[in-house]
Amino acid sequence: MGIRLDAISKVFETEDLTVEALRGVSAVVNDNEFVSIIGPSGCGKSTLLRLISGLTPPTQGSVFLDGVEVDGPMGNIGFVFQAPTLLKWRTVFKNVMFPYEVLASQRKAPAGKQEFEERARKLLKMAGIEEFTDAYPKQLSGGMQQRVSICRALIHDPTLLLMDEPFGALDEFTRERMNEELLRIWHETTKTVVFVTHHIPEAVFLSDRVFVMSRRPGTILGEVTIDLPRPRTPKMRESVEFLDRVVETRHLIGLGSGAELLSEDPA
Amino acid sequence: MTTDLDTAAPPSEEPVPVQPGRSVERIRKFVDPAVFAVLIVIGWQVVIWIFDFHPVVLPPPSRVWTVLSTQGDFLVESMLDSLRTILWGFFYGSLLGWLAGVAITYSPTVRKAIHPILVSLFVVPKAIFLPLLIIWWGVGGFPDHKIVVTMLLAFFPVTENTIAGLSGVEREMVELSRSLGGSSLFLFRKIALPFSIPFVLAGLRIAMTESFIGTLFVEILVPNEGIGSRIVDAQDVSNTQFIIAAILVIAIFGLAAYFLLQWIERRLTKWY
Repeated sequence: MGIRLDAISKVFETEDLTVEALRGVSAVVNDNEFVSIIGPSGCGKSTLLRLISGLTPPTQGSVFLDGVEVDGPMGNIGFVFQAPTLLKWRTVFKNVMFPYEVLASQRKAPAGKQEFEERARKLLKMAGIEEFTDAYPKQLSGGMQQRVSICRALIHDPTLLLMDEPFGALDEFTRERMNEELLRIWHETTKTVVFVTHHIPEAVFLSDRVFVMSRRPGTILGEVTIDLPRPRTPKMRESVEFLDRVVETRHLIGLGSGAELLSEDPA
Repeated sequence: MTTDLDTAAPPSEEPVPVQPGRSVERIRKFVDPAVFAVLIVIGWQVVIWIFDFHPVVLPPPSRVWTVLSTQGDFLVESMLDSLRTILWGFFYGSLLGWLAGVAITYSPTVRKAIHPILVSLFVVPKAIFLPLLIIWWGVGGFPDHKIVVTMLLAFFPVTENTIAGLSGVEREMVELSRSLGGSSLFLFRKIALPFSIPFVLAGLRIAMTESFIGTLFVEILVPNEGIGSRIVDAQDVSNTQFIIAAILVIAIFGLAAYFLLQWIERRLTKWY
């Protein structure tokens, strides 16, 4: 699925507070492309994902998915949150099946229940957690829970996958392994992915392009094209080309010498 | 906790071994309080020997036992009369309390208009409504004055816990459903409702205890039927051993109701 963001601004207004989250954000993401959005905390990265998904409307500007303007949730999107957000009263299997129930309640399920159940089993196997099919979320570690939530985001075979710092709470080792697994799944099921993170090596390892955002109000400072060959391998993380892209991204964020950091307020 | 894991334990994790200490622990759970109860009875008897209390002030355990063995049927019958009131009050109070909790959570108008009034009713001791209720309702009929006071007591814990449960749903869970186009009703049925179950059940457990308090309080204040009224009768003739025996019967039924609800709670929320 292709995405076009057309001069988007987003202002949140409450009774006593007005926050300008995004200002004049324009970007194009191609079909089957893997892009990351990177930037400091509170720069509107998550807001951007919610705008693309149709959960909130932009204050100004428009979002187009495959040329159609978004005016609400469309159902063909998979969303992975920072926290696994599993429904803890459901087994792992029933959690993965949740999108089927939502879509079936609107008669929008793209396939029958049996086919979804088969897909659920296949996804759980692919994610290496098939032995936990009938377990409850509390019996799983954080990393395994997040794998379940990724399976859940993939079960209705969405053409767009939105991921909001999905590995932010994991340790470095687990994070790297999850990165590789995510790419493996992506290769098997070609879809567009928008991945929000504030971890530079992760963004470089995963993406075709990395968008760098500024502090609030969020604007796009620039993008880095990651022209490393695919499939990406763990070994690549140590290559000169990989580190070059990391440095390039750091410079774009303004992490070059460190001098800029001293003058910035720690908001 | 232990029984839940038996059914849902993932195979790759270490199987929970049958610990030799577990059955011992399970027995001790009942033996320890029993031993303590025996100690209390012995202490009770010793106190009477030492201070030589008159049996009207503090009858010996043997007299209480006589009441229990000779008038046990009568005590249990009276208790069952009370229990009928307790359970009706609990049922209606909890049901209305749950509905109020749902309305307050989802309707800003109801929240602003009714919730403050409910809270101010909540902080008032419910017994002060009794005279008013008797004037309006009279004594007897259905639901009688006792059921209404019991309802009032059962109502609030369920309301407050329902509100806490329904509004505790995380933003991401809401977005998960909405991002797939799920309706508000779907969100309520499939996410908010199951999410709130542990909260509501905890509220019900408190409501049950409150219902016992409500019914017995009214029976003592306006005696007609039920074990509370029989306690007042016994007080009139200084039948202290009967009062103590009645308290024991009430405590046993109260404990049974509490543990029954706790058991249901554990069964329904083994995932929690």
